[in-house]
Parts: sequence; structure tokens; C-alpha cells
Amino acid sequence: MTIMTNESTTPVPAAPQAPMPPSPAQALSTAKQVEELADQLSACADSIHARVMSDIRRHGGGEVPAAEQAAERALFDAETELRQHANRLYAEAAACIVSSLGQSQKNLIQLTADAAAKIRQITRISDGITLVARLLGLAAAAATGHAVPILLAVDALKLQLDVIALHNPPAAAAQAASSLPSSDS
Amino acid sequence: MNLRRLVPFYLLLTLAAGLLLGGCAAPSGSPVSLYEVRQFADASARIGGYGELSRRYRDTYQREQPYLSPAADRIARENDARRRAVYEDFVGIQKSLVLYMQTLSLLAGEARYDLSTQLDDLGTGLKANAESGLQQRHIAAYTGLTRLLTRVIASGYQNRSVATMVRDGDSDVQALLEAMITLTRLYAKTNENEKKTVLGIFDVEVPFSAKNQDRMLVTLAKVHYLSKATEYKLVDKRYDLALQGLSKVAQGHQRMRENLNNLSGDDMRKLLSGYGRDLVALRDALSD
Repeated sequence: MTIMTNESTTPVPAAPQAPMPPSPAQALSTAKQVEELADQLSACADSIHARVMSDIRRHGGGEVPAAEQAAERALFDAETELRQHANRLYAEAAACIVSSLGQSQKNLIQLTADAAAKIRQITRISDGITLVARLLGLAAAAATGHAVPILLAVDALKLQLDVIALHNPPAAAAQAASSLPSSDS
Repeated sequence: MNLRRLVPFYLLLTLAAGLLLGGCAAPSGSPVSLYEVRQFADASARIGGYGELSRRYRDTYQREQPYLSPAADRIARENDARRRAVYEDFVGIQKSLVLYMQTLSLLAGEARYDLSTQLDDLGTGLKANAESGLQQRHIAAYTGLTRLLTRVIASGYQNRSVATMVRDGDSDVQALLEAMITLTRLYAKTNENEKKTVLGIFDVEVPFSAKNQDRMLVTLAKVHYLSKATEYKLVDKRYDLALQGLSKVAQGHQRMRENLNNLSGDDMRKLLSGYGRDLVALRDALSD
């Protein structure tokens, strides 16, 4: 229950029988936010899946080159891992573990929402793999409940979203499919 | 003029008739019929779905394990321990709600339950710690309801009316129902990720096995996919039915709370029997 165990940084007592429970409103909003973050991670996993499937479908039932298979498998593994992270947060919301993230949790949620949208329209598959890696890093950091790793992960995700924005100007979105490495339709 | 003078007399007659008829309808001898209250409480006590879906949530890992990559499996195993740690408490909420509804039914009609064993069962209480899976106010609601039930049952149901019990119990009942609704929603979302993990691997791998020598494997995979897809489709419906049932119980109880002085009025009786019917229908749909 790592979100709850605040070994050093936060003033909230870590012992399970701690006599200072959060106020009902506090607890409720935190549980809701944890659930919301989990929803966003699930949505990112959905986006990855949609992306993988659209890549596979471009081969029209024909054989998919081995290199591409490996990339899609890696993405699918990342998707599954994200779902486990999401389920972990659902379990924590159910257990109403109170994290000390507060406002930054809202930013997190927004950031993951941006990421989910980007995954569908990235031009370069390598950008996509990096983005998914950043997302996984964030999900893992969120599970620790500690501010420092989370902020680092948030920065890395932000940076990758900027990189994608650079590679993927709105006008170029239409050509997205044709510029992918192994496609020649 | 004439008519107006007759009205009080007429009212008196109706009242007398009502009392007599009421006496007949309620075999316990209470002056008014609380038949619908009893029906509603009975149906609420036997509400389906939540217990089964709590178990399903607890056993998530068992079902998804064969489909997980080593990295996902590591997290999944931790999740499994988390879910198992709080399962008993999730079930505990339901137990106290069931006992409340059984007691309410008892108060509203003839004795049909021996509640002493259930009461012992509740004695253990919920773990009010971080692992317990419940918010502080849910724990408070649980404790409050247990105390109320202990008092009612221990007093031999005397000096307690249905109205008093509904009034004293409502806020706790609502809090526990809300907790059950939230938990059921989280169960459903967890199940959604499980479904997509299990089915997803076939989405990806089947197109990769387009070569001829994989035909047998692909066929088996497709058969397995179909049976899994059907299983999840059936389960998805159950979350929905369970949520509907929990909301109906919450609504019905709230309406009783709002109409404490008029529980045996025509409108209230019609309303409650409607809720009771809906709950029975939902339960039937769940046991199909």
C-alpha cells in the first residue's frame, strides 16, 4: 500500500491504526481522484490497443513483418502492464488509501488524457513507444505515492508530448499513416 | 350543506373500516398494513449480485494470470494480495445491510427469521485501518447500524416501530449502499481491464499467425476467444443489474424516510410494492 506509507516526507502518520483519519470529504475526493487517474490509465491502454490494431490492419490480413510484430508485441505488453497499474489504483481507490498528492493529481489526470489522445495520431512509431514507456514510468511512480519520482516522471512525459507535437504538426496529421516505417500502401 | 355535515361521519366510518381491514391484512395484529414495507425489506435483503461480484473481484488474478507477461504479472500479484486483504470487509457491509433489512421485515410483519446467529457474525466488526477498504464514514455507518440492530433485536423487537427504525437507520443505510455502489463500479472497471487483457492478446496474436502451419493453433485460439468473449459479455450485464438493484434499495429506503408518518398510505404502498417488484425482477435476471 505504497501510496499510504509516507516514510519520510509527509506529515500524515503511516501506521494503519493511525488516530488521524482524513475527513470524509477529503477521503472521498481523493478516492475519486485515484479512480479518475486509473480511468485515464485504462484509457491510455485503450489508445495503445487501438493503435496496435490499426497498424496490424494495414497489412490487410497478410503477413506482418517480424520486426513490426516485435514492436506491436512490445506495445501490447505495455498496454497490459498499464492495465495492471490501473487496476492497482482501482484497488487503492476501493481501499481509499489517501495519498498526499492533492492538486498535482489533477494535473496528472490532464497529462494522461493528453497522452491518450496523442497515441492515436503519432507519426513515428518510435515516438509512440517512447511515449508509452513514459506513461508506464508515470504509472509506476504514481504507485509509490512519493512526490519526487512522480514529478520526474511527469517531466519526462511532458517532454515526450512536446517532442511528439514537434514531429506531428496538425497539418501533417493526414500523412501520418504513409510515413510509418514499414508501410508501403 | 347536508353533504358537508356528513363528511366527518363518513371519514370516521372509513377510518373504522380501514382499521378493521388493516387488521385483517396484517396477521401480526398491527393496526395498519405494512405488507409492502415487508415485501420491500425482504426483496432488499435478498438483493443479488454484490456478493458474487465481490468474489469475482477477489479472484481476478486467478483468471487473468495465464495471459500476463512477466512484468504485468509482478504488479498483478501485488494487486491480488491487495484485493484479498479487503475482501472480508467488502462482504461485511452487505451482511449488516441484509440483517438490517431482515429486522425491518420482522418489525413490519410476522416473525420469520431467527437473527441471533447473524448478529454474532456482525460482532467482529470492520477493520478501521488503511487496508480495510472502507472510508471512515462507511465504518461509522456500519458501526451505527450494528448498534441499532443490536438494540432492536436484543429488546425483543418491542418499543420499536418500523418508522423509528427507518428514521434511525436511514443515514447509515444510505452510506453503506453508497459504499457498495462505489465498490461495484470499481469491480466493473477492474473487470473491464481484465477483459481487455485476456481478449487483447488474441486480437494481436491471431493476425500474426497467418501462416499455413499455424492453422490448428489459430482455430483453437479463435474458439477460445469466442467462449471468453461470451463469458465477459454475460458478466458485464451483471454489474449493471447489481448497480440498478443497489440504487433501487437506496431510493426505496429514502422514500420511506421521507414518508415516515404515512408508510401505509396508498401512494406509499404502491410505490414500495413497485420497488419490491423491481428488485425481484432484477434478482431473477441475475439468477438466469
